[in-house]
Amino acid sequence: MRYLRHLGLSAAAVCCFAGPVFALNPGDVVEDFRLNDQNGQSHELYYLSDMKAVVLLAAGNGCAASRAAAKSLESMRARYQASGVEFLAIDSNLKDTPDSIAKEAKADGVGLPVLTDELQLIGESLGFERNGEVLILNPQDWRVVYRGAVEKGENHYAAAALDAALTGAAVKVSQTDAGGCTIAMPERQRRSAHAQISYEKTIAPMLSTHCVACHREGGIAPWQMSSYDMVRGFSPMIREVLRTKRMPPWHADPHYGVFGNDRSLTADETKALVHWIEAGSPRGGGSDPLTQVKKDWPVWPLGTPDLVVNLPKFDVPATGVIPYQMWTVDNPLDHDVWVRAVDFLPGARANLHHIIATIGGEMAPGEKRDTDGSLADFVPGSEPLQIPPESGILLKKGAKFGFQAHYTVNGKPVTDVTQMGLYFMDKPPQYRYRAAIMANPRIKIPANTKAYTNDATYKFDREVLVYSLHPHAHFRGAAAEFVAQYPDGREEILLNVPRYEFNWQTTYELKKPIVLPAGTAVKYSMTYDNSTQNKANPDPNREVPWGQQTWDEMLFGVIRFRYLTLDANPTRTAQTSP
Amino acid sequence: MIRGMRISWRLCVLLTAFGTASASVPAPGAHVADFTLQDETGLAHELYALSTKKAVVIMTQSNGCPIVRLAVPALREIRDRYRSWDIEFLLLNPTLQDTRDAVLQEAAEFQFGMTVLLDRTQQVGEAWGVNRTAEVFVIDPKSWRLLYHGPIDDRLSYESQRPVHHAYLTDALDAVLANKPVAVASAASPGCLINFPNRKHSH
Repeated sequence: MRYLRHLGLSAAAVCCFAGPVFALNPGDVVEDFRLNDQNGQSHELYYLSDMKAVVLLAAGNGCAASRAAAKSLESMRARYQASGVEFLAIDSNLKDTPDSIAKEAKADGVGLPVLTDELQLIGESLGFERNGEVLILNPQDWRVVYRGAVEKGENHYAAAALDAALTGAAVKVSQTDAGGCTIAMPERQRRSAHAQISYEKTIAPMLSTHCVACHREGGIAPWQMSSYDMVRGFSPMIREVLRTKRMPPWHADPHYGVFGNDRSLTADETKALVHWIEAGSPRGGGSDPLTQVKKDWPVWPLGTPDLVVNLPKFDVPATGVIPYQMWTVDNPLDHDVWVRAVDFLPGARANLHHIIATIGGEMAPGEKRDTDGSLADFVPGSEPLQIPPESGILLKKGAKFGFQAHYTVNGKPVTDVTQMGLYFMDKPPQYRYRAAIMANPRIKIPANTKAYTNDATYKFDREVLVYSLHPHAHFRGAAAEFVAQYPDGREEILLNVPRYEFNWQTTYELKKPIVLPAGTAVKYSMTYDNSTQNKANPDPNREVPWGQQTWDEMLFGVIRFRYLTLDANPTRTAQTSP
Repeated sequence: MIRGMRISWRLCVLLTAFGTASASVPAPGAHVADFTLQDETGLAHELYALSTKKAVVIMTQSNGCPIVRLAVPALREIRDRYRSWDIEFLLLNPTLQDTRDAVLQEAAEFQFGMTVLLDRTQQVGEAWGVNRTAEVFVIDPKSWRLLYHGPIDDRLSYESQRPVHHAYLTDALDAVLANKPVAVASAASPGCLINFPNRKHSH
């Protein structure tokens, strides 16, 4: 009899759901997420694990309850921030944009970050229904300790909950009715329709297009999207990496610039994939397109190169942190050539994380030389560099190739020999494909600092056509930005990278090259996280200087461009930053 | 509801649970029920047959997860360092997707050198409240109580590694061998989320 009673209790405890439950009550765990705020800065919830409490407000423009709650939180923020409480608002309203949110926050004198949940995926999982409602979380276990109104009359519920949380006492009133303005969440009513999202027609083709270039046999991604069963098994992980913006590995803020090599999923694709997973990753009918993925890798898709350069052999260990490899390789040619395309053929494709190839090494600021330094980058899944028509890179005889190679460990030792293929032009081009370097070799990043920003500026003295932007930093790089300052005083953000990820040395290639008038200055800035909250930081107690290795840092940005008017003499020494 | 009852009934009959069959994270001190699982070569292993060991260390694993691939060499190194003590080190694969052949291949390719227990019905994983790969469980075979639950150490995170500051697992083992209580009995554990479709999801 006792045994039977135990059975019944157990049945209640594990009563089954095919996917997430969408009410989020005190005691429930909040999963991690990452969102940009109204100013284009990135916030990850679990980064706040060193806080004593986190307060989240469901906010919306034009909602009186939301405005009143934001103002109350603003004054609480002044009181509680020093005690380790972080305050964030989240706007999950479809009608609100980062610009309109920033405008209203400014008008109301609200300084707390307002995270823009444009896909509503985070608001849906937080169970947001009304603007003006708050959630208070305990970062020790990410459980909800309070949900409801900030206050009602003389009852300061949120402040009382915070006071209890800060002293480790139980929260007396953990749930109240928040009231406030209803948030329209059309997908919340469509939960049953999400179970009808087709694996065969929607999910598998999306994964094939965006993910399988790496998530395939022998690819750099650790697991293969080779069947429905694999995708289903990793479904909760796929959902997590989408919510935290770890994958796909594309880190540009979509509100600035359009890039030809954009690896991200569209908003509709992201929503379909997350909702399909939340519906239990249903197989549905039809074939499994992921079992049909071809097994071979492209070998020199542009044809046989005019010159193949072998990079040094490298033995990758099973695990540990591997320093960047810096190599110099002789150019065997006895004459100058113009390069029109560059490709790489990785040896150990599963371990080669990136290569930055240069002619003579990256230029130091102020250095002048006959070549521009930059040649090409390799990252997994990238296309060969094809320099725009009528432009080329000069490779002088006797110049040496410089390579910075980054390997990733995956649990087993392997040996890599990678090749670089160069394609030459028949005759000199009309334009040189140039590189502008923005760097500050005198940076000193203070110890135990969560955000330290430094910048460098490059002024174009002629009208130029810009093709790509490349921010570069090491383990402590956290966020990057390129801002054009035009001669008429206007400023424009060319690229915002709210979450810089050193593992992905992405060159952001503008879909349509942009013209910068003569006299335009481009300010490149990098924010560094030298705190213990940065999980890649080898030593937060160190003041970090400039250095080639990943434990040191760099403020280093590259813009690839050409002059708009014909070069009188394309072999003339390139301009360099002052 | 009917489905839920069926599963919890199986859990209770097989007595694979930490106390009651709840999917919440197991608290250190919880009682670990016996189980028998096959390994990647087809051999059966019963937990309670390890009653003479000083400790039983079990780490969750799934094929293709980068964090557990990077954690296995560290676990192997710890096993070798504690070889003179009678401690059992095992891996537990509670995934739906990894077949026995696939686990054999992964174990050979990455030279696991440790037995992988296959929990393809996910009964042990569900009962233990497993959430991710690379979660380590340290069990005391005298009392069959959980002594530690968390990562090996604080080295690994998503797409990054840093020097070890807290060696949770070896600290726990040293405490066990010295007959002292484990000071840090649980810690947050990075790894790949494992799909337990019949579990009530958190948020």
